[in-house]
Order: sequence, then C-alpha cells, then structure tokens
Amino acid sequence: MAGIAPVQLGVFAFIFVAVALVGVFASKWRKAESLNNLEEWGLGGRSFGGIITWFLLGGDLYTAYTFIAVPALVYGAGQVGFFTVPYTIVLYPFAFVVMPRLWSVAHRHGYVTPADFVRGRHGSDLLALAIAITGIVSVIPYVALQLYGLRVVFEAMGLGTTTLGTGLPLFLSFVIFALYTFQSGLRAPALTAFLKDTLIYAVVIVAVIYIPLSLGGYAPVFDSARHALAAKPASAGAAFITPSSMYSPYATLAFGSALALFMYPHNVTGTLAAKRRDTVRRNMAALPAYTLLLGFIALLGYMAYAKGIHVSDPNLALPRLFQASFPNWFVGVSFAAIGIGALVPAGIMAIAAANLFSRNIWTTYIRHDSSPSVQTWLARIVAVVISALALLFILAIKTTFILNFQLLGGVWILQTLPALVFGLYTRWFHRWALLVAWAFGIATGTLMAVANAFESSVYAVHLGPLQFSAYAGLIALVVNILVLLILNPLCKLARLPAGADETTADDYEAEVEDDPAPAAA
Amino acid sequence: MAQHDPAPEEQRRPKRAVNRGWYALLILPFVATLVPPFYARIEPKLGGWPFFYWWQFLWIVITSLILALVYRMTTRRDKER
Repeated sequence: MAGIAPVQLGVFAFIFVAVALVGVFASKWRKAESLNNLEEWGLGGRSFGGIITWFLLGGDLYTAYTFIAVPALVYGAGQVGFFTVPYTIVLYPFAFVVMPRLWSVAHRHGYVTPADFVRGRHGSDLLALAIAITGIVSVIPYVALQLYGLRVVFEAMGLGTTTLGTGLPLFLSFVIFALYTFQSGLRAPALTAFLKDTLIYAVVIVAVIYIPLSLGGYAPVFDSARHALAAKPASAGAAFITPSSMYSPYATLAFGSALALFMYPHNVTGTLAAKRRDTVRRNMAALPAYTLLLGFIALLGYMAYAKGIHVSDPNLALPRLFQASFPNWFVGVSFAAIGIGALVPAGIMAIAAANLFSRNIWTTYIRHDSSPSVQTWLARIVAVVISALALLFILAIKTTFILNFQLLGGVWILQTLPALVFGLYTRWFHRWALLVAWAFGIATGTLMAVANAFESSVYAVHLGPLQFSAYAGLIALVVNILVLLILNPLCKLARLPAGADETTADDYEAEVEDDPAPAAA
Repeated sequence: MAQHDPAPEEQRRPKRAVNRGWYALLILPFVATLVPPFYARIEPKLGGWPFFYWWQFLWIVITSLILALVYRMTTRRDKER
C-alpha cells in the first residue's frame, strides 16, 4: 500500500474542494441583509427548518473523527467501542426533554451562546465566564481531532506520515476551511452538512451491504472478530462481549458522554439555529437515524478483521478496509466523505467558540460597548485563530496528547451541566454555589485524569468498601452536584446576593407564535 | 368515564394542555441500554448477530419509535402553524 494513490487522491481533492467552495458561497444562501451581526453570522439568522437542522446537528454530532476513531476502537478493543451505541441512544431522550427549553429561552432573550443563558438566568458574569472558558477550552482539541481525522485519510492515500507529506495538504485544507468559516459563518457548515451526510450515508450504506456480502454475511464478520479479539494478549484489554469488570465503565461512559454532548457549545449553536421550538423537538425524535449509521460504522471495525486487514495503528483499519474492498474511485469518494466530515463540525465548533469569546469574554469584560458589527468581526477573526491553533496542535504536538486533551475536554464540559440544565428548570441553586461546585468538578476531573496518567477516562474509585470503576466525567459531576447541594443552603443562609433572573417561567415553553407582537424589526 | 387509554383523553383536553405522562416512556431506553448485565452475552443469536449486538441495535429503532410517539402525543396539534 506504499506510494501515492493518484485516483483516490484526485477524486478526494475534487469533491473536497467543490464542497468547500459551496461553503464559501453559502453566504449568498438565504441572504441576510447583513452578515455583520452574530445572529446572522453565528446562528444563521435562527432560520433553519427541520431538514437543515437535522443535517446540521447530525453533522455536528458525528464527525470525521467519529468515522476514524470508533471503528479503530472496535478494531483495537472490541466491545468497549460499542458504548457509542447506548451513548447515542440515550442522548436523544435527554436532549428531547432539555434542549427545547434552551431553544425557547434563547429565542425570547436573543441568547447566542450557552454562557449568555447562564448570565441571564443566574445574573452572574463570573459564572458565565466559567461556562464560556470551559466551552472554548473543551472545543479546541475537538477541532484538532477533526484535522487528525483528515490526516489519517491523507496517510492512507500514501502521502506519508511526515510533517511535509501530510502537513502541506493539512495546511491547504485549513486555508479552505478558514476562508469558508470566515466568509459565511454558520451558513457554510449548514449548507455543506447536507452534502457531507448524503455522501456519508451513501458510503456507509454501500459499505455495510457490499462488504458483508463479499465476506459471506454478518455471521463470519462476528466470528472472525471474536477469534481475533480472543487471540490478543490479555494486556490489550480486548473483549468481544463486555466482561463483568467492564459493566460500570461501559454504562457510565455511555451515560456521561450522552449528558456531556449537548453541553458542548457547538451543539448548542446547532440547536439555537433552528427556526422553531418544534423544529428542535422533532429533530431530537428524528436524529436516532444517525445512531443506526454510527452502529454500522462501528461494525466496520469488525469487518476489517473478516477482510484480513492487519494494521499496527488501529486508526488505519477503516481506510485500509475501504481500500481493500472498493474500486479506487469509490475509495476517493469515501475519503472525501470523511474529509468533508471534518470540515462541517470543525466549522460549527470554531464558530461556537468564537461566539463565546466575542460575547462572553470580550463584550462582557473588555469592551462593553462593542457593536454587533464589531462583535461579529471579532468572532470571525477568533474562529480563524481557533482553527489555526488546532492546526498547530496537530502539526506540532503528539497525537496522544490531543486525544487526552479531548478526553479531558469531555470531562470539563460535563461540569457545566448544573448551571445550564438545572438552570433550565429551577432558580433554586445559588450562583456562588454553582460556581464553586463547577470548580470542584473541574478539579476532581482533572486530578483523576492526572492520576490515570491521561491514559484512560475510566477511573477506579476506592472509598472504603465502595470500589468501582466509572467514567471520570460522571464521577466529577457527582462531586460537583454534592458540593452544590452542600453549599447551596449555606449561600442562602449567608444571604449572599442571588443575582437577578431576567427570564420568566413562560420563556422556557415559548414557541414562535407565543411571541408578543413584534416591534418593528 | 373509566377511560384508561390516554390517547382519546389527550384529544379531549383543551388547547395547550398535553398529557405529560407520555414523557415517562423516555425512561425505557436508559433502562434497556445502560445496564450491560442484561445484554452482555452471545446467546440468543439472531441472523449471526450475537445478542449483545442485536439488542443494542434493536434499541436504536425502539428509541426512535418511542421518541416519535412521545413527540406526537405531547405536541399541541390544535395550534395552527
């Protein structure tokens, strides 16, 4: 498989550039009077209907990295990779209940970011700052991982593993990507998400029908995986069926990740860009279609075994499987699908982080009088800076570090849940209790990651008779909530000022038609 | 009026009111997929798929159906778009 694959590379480059150009010109789509405010640049004018929202959120949740990492985990370790299935199952009942409330209150008050809501609800700039910084810091390694997904594809196409071999195409991809985000804002990923997922659905449907057929059905796929996993040394921790020692890590990883996902700023952005509350509700009911796709993508890791793919880097399992199964041109198409799969979520993530910086750090703390136009220009620049940082990460820092950073990002973002989700239901929690509890959650999560030498997000708890292993993010969240429950009455007893709540109970259920008659827009 | 089927009841309700009891159904996916001892085994197989795998895939479909049902039953249909 040495040497450059010209057909694959040609098809890849053609599709990738064509789709990126669509993104650049997306600013002309549903043209706003001006892109110079964050409602337009950063939220696409809150105008997206059901289908676009479905693709946008789908593009957000299932990324290039998912495509590479999930089959890689399944190939390398077996069953544990399938935690992504219950994860993306329970995700939707949770989001179905919670996210429409966030949409409604954001619609009523013009909130663009999760930190905007926290500020309005709890009357605390400081708590909003904590939420904003957590969001930005957690999202940067996520963007970097998208570029990492791209790099794996470049590597598979024979561009080598050197900085020059994959560095140059990565840099070119970055330029295209920066241009696209800078120019069109959220309209770019929204429009290209449709193309991305059409390609991905096509590729995955072909793959999960065609590959097992060529292998004699699903039974040999499972059988060969079972044997290959059993043959691995015990130290590899590979298993075909979850062993009892892994029950708790499996379940807590799934549950914790599901709670964390919609705390990420880019997924909030995807949700708030919807036109109606009903669009959000309907989408949460329709999005599990993507989970089915994800489940089959995970199975591709097993198909690699059945196809006799042997790679030392599990990340190459899926690209090598495609190369061994498909004609060159279709390999190019599938790699392009992964490549665009990097562009779309990376765009939304960079935009979401830029919105946070512009509104909740710059405008709150540095220049209170920033006009919408200044806020937007700032966000555009920050989006490019964040992408550049991610590129620097991927070129200069070891991949394992980025992976660890991303795991830690998941642990951190989960600690914003009490301020955000509890806040959607009650004002009972005091802003200072929320802030200190957040800090405890972050500290606990970070310490557990350090104790694990960043090698695993599963932490073994030994508290006297209580011994179990669980997802560090969820343990930290429990600590977070316990601290909150202890401090909350103390804050009230001490009569600390609770801050003003600018929302009303009615705001959380509001649909577009419930709006008061609009003032002249 | 000993009506146990909640669907007609929901239709009878006045504008805006929906039966929130339907939301309770959303607990099912959590119970079915977050307790691995229930399903972490090979038998019974289905079409070559070990139980561990087909059970979780099946719940993707069931969860979609539950969400669709809850969405329908808790949406105010009497309001015009």
